[in-house]
Amino acid sequence: MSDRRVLAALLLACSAALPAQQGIATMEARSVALRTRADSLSRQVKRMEAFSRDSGLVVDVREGSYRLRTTTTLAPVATVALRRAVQEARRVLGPEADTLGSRMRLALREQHGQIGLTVLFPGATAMRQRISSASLDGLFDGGQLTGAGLDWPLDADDLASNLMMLIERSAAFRLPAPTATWLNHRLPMRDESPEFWPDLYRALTTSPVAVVRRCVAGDRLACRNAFVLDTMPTDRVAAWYDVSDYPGIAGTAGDGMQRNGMYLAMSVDERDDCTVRGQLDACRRIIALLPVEAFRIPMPDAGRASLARIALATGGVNAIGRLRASGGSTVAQQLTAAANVPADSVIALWQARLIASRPSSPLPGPSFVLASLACIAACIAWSARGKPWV
Amino acid sequence: MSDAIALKHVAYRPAKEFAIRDLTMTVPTGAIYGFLGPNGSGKTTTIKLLLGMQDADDGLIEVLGHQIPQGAPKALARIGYVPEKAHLYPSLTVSEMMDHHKAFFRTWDAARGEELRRQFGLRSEQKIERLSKGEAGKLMMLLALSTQPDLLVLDEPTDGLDPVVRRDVLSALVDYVSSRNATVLVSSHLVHEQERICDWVGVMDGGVLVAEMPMNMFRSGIKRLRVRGAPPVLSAAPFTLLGRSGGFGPDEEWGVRGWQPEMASWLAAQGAELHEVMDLDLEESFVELLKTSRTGGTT
Amino acid sequence: MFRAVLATQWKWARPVILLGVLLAGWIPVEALRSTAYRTADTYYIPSLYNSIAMASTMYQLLALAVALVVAFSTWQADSLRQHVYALSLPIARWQFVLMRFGAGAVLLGAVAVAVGVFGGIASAIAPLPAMLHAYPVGLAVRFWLGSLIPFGLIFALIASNPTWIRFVVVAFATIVVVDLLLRAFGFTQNTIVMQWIATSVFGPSGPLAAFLSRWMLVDV
Repeated sequence: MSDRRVLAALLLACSAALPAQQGIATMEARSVALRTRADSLSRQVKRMEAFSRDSGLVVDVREGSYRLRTTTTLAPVATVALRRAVQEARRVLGPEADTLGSRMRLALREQHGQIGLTVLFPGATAMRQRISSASLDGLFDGGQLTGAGLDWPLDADDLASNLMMLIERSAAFRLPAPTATWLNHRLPMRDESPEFWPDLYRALTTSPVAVVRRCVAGDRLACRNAFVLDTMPTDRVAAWYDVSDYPGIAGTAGDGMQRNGMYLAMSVDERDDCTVRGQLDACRRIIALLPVEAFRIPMPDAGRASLARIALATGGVNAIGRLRASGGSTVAQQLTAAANVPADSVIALWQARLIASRPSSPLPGPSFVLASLACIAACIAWSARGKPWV
Repeated sequence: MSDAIALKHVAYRPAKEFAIRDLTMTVPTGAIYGFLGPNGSGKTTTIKLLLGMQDADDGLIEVLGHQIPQGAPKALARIGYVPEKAHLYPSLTVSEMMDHHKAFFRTWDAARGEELRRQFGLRSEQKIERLSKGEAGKLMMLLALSTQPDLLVLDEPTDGLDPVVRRDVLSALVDYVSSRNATVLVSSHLVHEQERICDWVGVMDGGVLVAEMPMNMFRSGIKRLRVRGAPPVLSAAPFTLLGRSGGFGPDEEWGVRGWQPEMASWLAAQGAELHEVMDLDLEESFVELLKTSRTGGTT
Repeated sequence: MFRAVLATQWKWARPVILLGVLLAGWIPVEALRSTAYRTADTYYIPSLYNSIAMASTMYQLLALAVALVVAFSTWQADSLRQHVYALSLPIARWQFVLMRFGAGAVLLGAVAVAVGVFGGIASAIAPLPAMLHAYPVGLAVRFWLGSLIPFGLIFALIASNPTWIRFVVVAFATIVVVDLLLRAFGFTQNTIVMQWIATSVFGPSGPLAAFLSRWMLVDV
């Protein structure tokens, strides 16, 4: 057993050293290196699993119908994390949450996938193997769910968050197609951080897309347009942008490939005419070169997720069931079914929540001032004490 | 007459290898008190204790009627202090340093300060970091005297100064003391210098005050006797025998304290013959005293 | 007395204060420069907001740098002479420390005022997009309080006796060595010691938490 541990540690150390070798110039060499690394990791995971099985250190942590396979050392953390994640799922999904757990397990077994912690033992060998992360991998319905890297030492919050992501992705699979696509195949169940709404406010207020900015300013029609709750507009630029946004679009719209394609088709001078000299005709010519895919739904993922969350919360416990059963062809119709109120009402609620979350002004708050003064007073008191020097 | 400085059973251990032990010391008001002792004897530490720069572990310290360290700020307002090493802010000029000092002392005499500056040949715009050691010493003395202190505490004020500067500094000090009747505590290991100006003397050695008396008593009280034929064991002597050593031939040399001419008869009664009584200068007395204290003799 | 203390500290910290004032004038100009070209891509709300966020970091760095230099210069002359002169002055130690700190606070305040004034002028001249607002006063207050904290920490450290300074330096060196050893033995991420220190210092209740907040001259 000791030999196995050393072997596992060596494998892990080698795999960690691989990135350094990836400075090979050609794509082929890189590809080979990646394949080698993937094979190495796969072998390593199999060995570690075998070792875990043989050593009797693997346990199942259960919460309702959910099961998480882990090691005895990590079990306490995993138990807390799993309970937290499942409780969150029950809050949003109701009884659906437990059905989901069973379905996930079944599907995973069928797919020979796993939801488990790759077992890395701290201090397993005398040479103290490198432990940088534990990974959480899962396959569901044939799709890769996640490959999250978790920092060591394993933290219940991180683990719960990753488990939650798995559940959110699993929960999105049986949603009607328009909403599932609109949500990027993930049914969001909680705000990602306490600063979620203020951050969203900032992001939307400074959005490059005029229609989003108008939405934050209170224009409900603009919101509907920005969320694209109905159908995609034919002329996306005209529907979403102001003329003053054009130089910005020309400068940044589209991903790398599209921009490369665009640059091939235009001269540097023309681009400068638009972005530096602000000539609108030049901007229009450049924008015309951009493929339609360069103009995605103006409202960012976080904004759409928050709207879906509000719709589910408004609809109550059975909201998810109604959403699944909805026969509507647009996101607006499906959200209406989930929330049991018109989509515009959901938007109004969302807008109210967003505007109420406007970040407080940068003027220091009382807690900041008090904390600063306390710290300063402590420093002065420390400096003035006793006869320290001569 | 009250005492300007009074220390009672003061104890302080700043380091493992050195301690001030049971220090009781008195500087009468108006006295020029020479605080003698070899390097490392505890003079500077004692001065820092009585200025409240360090806190004693035990004992009582009173300076100008103020308990130290509690009343140190009030006492310091009436004290002019010249430390052993230059302590002024190097990047300031002479006039900036004077202005800075003035702000803390209500008694600052601007005219006197200016007069001393001229007398000492210091230029206002000179930076302190560029002053020679003598000039820095003069500036420290200028600052101390211009506050019109009731007590001057001078820690090796002329150490390392050339004779001309030393004379200037001492002359300014004597002028001030004579005009103000101030008390002076001057610490030094330069015994000759103390002899010229001090009327009280305290001798410190190894953290202990080994003697404290008026200067005239210190100078006249210690004699060296040349004695012949004294027995090895003596009966109770009417004077204090500080030390006894071999001299030329059969003669012995005795260091004694409290000698009076009529005590020669006691020597005769011991079967000894007194050949000579020699007066010692302050330095010899000081050395004799230290030798005695280090060999455990009575003082 | 305070004026005398202030005068000496001004003399010692003058170069860095003047440089701080200059930078306080340059940062908002640099951050809002793009608003001068409304039609160019530089005037693009996200990029404008990004440049303001970068300016926020610059303000933080400026506050930190000025605070550290002022703190060092405050005690340097006293430290070199083991504080003998300061202790011989007829004033309680706490009063002297308070005056030294107060003078430092005034000098840092001068830079904070410059931050507020120049920030105010720049944001008044610049045509800001709707829904973005200038907060020069808030920024100046944040700058001042934020700079006072590192100033206070270094001030307290240097005012301590050599034993404490040695202790802090040795403790810091030990942490660095422990971290290096942990890394050498394979603990590459978030070693417990460093994480604990980072959380203690920069965490929400840490003394330097202010540096994680946003120092935005212009915000939503």
